[in-house]
Amino acid sequence: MQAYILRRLLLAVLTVAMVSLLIFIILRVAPGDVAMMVYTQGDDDIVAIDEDALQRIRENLGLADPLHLQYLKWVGNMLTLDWGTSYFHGGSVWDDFKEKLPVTLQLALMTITISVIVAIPIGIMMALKQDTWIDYVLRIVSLGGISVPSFWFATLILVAGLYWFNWSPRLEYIPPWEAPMDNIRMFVWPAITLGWVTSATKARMMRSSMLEVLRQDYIRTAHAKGLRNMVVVYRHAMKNAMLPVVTIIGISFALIAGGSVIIESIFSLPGLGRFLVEAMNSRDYNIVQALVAFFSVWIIIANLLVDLTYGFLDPRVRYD
Amino acid sequence: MAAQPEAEQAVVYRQSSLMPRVLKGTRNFIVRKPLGAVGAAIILLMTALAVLAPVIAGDPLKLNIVDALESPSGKYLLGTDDFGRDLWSRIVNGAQISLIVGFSAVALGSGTGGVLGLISAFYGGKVDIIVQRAMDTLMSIPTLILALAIMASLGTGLMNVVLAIGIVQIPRANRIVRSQAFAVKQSEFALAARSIGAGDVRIMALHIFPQCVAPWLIIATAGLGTAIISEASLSFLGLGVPPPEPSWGGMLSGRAREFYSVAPWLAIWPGVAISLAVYGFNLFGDAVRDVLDPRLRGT
Repeated sequence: MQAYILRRLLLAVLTVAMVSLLIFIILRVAPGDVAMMVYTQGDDDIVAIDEDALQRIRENLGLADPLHLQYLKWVGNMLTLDWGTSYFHGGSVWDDFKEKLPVTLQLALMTITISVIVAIPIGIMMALKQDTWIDYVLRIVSLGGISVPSFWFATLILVAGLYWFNWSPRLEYIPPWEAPMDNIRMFVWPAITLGWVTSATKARMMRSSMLEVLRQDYIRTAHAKGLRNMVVVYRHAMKNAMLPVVTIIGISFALIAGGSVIIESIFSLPGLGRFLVEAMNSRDYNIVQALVAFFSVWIIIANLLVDLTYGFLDPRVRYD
Repeated sequence: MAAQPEAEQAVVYRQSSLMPRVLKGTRNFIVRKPLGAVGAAIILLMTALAVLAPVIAGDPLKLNIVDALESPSGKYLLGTDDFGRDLWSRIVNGAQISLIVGFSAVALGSGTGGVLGLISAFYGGKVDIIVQRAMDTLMSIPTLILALAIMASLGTGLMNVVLAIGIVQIPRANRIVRSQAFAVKQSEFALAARSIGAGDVRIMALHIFPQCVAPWLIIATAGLGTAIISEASLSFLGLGVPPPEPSWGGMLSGRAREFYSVAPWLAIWPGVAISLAVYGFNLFGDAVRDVLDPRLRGT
């Protein structure tokens, strides 16, 4: 087990290093002259360019150094939580991040809770009733969940709320410790939207993993020796079919990271996802780089935890 | 001499049976996979709309402020938007964008991923390690966020959308083709090809690749729906196909959102179009998987 943990940890560290390099290439090397963008502040009509001012901006932003030094400096700064300042409004990126992180975390927790409660029973039901009308109806519905874009689903909720109940989302964030009910009211619709959309994927995964288990020899043996169906399903099949639930929860983190970008923008939740879209639209690469790195590390850690849990639950995995 | 007429007959037989065979295959598919057939019908309808757009719909960009925010009527089938542009024309022309992005991005992503997977499995060792760590890296950035980052870096535009969504789709095709190619590589016929002196490329292309087509196609068709929804999401967030182009996702964002209370059709039709299209591709993709991979049937 120790060797397995060590191997997975090293792999995760390597992946973090490679991801940081990729992010650096995509966002620092590819977009062209960031100093020029800061100089013109997004205004393309400026013709007269003060070369000295441009050079000063470059030095301030650390863009005058050779690329490999820029990269190492960026990684060092990320690790020491010195995430720099916004290119445009000059605020500290780390301070903004700290303020917005709880919003995204709360959305993630609520979404995962909702989708696990919905998806796992539905997936098991589909597998047990395979090829009956229940299975067909649930399959058609869950495929619908995958096909309906989350931003449209959210839009419909907003339009319906406005139309029939004159309800619209609150714009300012209410921390749970100040007014717990208002806080829940603020998060419940975004969480339901994201939970519904991500449930579909998870229910389908649960269905296939349950089906796989139900076809195993030991299940047939259990049936053959005359055990009641309920006992076979709950005592024999369920235990092994629950393993993939770990993966499913892990995948939730990936789905939520992407989903928060859209859902937070629509419901005006001041979280990291909306922060990222705003930074991208204003080409504030310092913020974008930091946030993309954060979301990637979030995924890598989620995957690492999934693998370690697997290794703990299923000894075969450790010897791969 | 006796063999001659028999051979001729065989040729004639094959010619005459080609059409019935296609028809029979289609009928079989409809009977055995009714949901897949519904999906295929949606895809065909969408393709027909996209191809016939110049005939059945007007100019999607034509402004007509006098008729702004008209509700659906005989003149404007689905109503008009805040600039008085005909929504029907925009939806139909939007189908073109969705299809172009869907198919090109999947061709790019699954193509690159498949070839890399083949190479990775065939050469193994260091090549395999390097390619797979690269895939780990790509997979560690959430797909939508990676696509957004690429768009933020390259700037908006149709070609960049294809590139961004294509890159995001590389790892899945890679993993699937690689694992299949690994198994095939050790088969007797691959070794036999090697023993009669076939080169690396020949073995990969003629002996290993054909065995990987089925799983590769499964992943590619499954990727079409994802690609269309990604394009819509990117355009919705303002980092995809830029306005005024009639992208379905873009039609749901920006200024149009301010008019939802007076013109709810603006919120409805583009979303219906996206959902229906993606639903069609997903239904079809599921059926393709069932047909091509009997092991996964019904799972």
